[in-house]
Amino acid sequence: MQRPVNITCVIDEDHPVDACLGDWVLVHVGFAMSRIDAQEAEKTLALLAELGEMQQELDAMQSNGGQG
Amino acid sequence: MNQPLHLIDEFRDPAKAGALIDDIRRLLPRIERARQSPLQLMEFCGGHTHTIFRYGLEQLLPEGIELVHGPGCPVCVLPRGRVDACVALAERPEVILATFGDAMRVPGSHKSLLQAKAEGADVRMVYSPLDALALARKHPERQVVFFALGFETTMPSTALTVLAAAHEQIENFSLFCNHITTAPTIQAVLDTPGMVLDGFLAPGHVGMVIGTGPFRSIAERYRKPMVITGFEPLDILQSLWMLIKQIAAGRAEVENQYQRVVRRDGNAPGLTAMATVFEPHSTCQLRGLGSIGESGVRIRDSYARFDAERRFKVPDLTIADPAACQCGEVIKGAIRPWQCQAFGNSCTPQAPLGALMVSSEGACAAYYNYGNLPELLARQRQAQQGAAAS
Ligand code: SF4
Repeated sequence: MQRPVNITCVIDEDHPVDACLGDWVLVHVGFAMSRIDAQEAEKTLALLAELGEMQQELDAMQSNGGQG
Repeated sequence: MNQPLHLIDEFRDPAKAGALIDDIRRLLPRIERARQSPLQLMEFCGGHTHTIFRYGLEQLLPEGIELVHGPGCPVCVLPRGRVDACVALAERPEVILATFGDAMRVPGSHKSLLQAKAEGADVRMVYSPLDALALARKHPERQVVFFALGFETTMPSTALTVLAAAHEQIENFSLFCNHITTAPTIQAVLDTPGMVLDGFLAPGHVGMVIGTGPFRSIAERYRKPMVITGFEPLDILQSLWMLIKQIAAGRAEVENQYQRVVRRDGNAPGLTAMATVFEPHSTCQLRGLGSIGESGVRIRDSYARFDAERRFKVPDLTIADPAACQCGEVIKGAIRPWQCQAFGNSCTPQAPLGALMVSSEGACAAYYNYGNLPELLARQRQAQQGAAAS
């Protein structure tokens, strides 16, 4: 889908219009409101993956404990 | 450049959801308060309510947690009198009334905008306030009024549209302003007598605009933990988990789960545009919550010519909800939607009595569309019979 989007809210001195090409942005009612930080997204997912692994370890420890 | 679209799928990953739920289950018994009765956690935002129902998240949660659906649905808290005023504007022959789709079907005391349109009023559905401005450019002989609704998420867009209209000297464009601010609304919920809430999922898109600061002052003042939350299922589960961890540790802080979108200071250009065009309004009526100090905004005098209420005579009406309707109680989280007698009877998504049945973000519509309807209606009947018997 293609739509014109107003980018006033995602540009500043450090991130001028030219720098926006390829940006991944959150759009609300026709306005880009935030540049989505893919690195932060990956960090959040990594933390959750870690939680899953920890739990598997906990489960394994508990079932070992049960046997011994 | 390649779009990290895969990330969206990953925020719906069932394995990660399972890990979060397991850990919540492990933490809950450590919370003394949760051993007495279920923790009451409010998702303020209708967008969160929608995700919770769409993905059936409530059913995944252990028994010690109950979700309370908050008032963060702009059309749901819009008082009837404002809908009536908007219909009156739309019925003026010179006016083209432009609105977002979800406001079209909200019932006023006589009719909705959709009904007014069927009767000949010129009501147009738009996707963006900029589309409304484009209508004004295209029809210089008409008056285009945009029905501006919403919390801080939408305020920058309407403010920037007014600034564009001023810049281009478009004189046949104005706003019917019904914006509301989040922090006073959350405080009104917390000040409601008898309200027991143990924590909040704070609205991520509002946070994206206003930053984390305004939430911090509420968390400190009321000693309630808050987590600013994104809109995918894992976002919500992770935030619930973060809330539970805070409660278990006796903390009441503001944490930001939605790091990928929400920055500490919010969106500077958006905040500047808002402050240029709008000023706080002394009080604002919200359906169910009554009048809340400083919760509304109005257009500053310097932009008065873009204020539909100053351009036209707009009736200022306060109109009570129909007696059968318990929207106010549902908005406050005091009752569940099915406990309203009208739910599923005189109030359905096809023929809504209250606004909560209209919007996809409304709690009643969510229960109706995604809940187990026969079971909810059976519960409603049981409660009725119980009340009749006693
Ligand atoms: S069922 Fe209808 S009338 Fe009752 S609270 Fe919900 S929206 Fe309001």
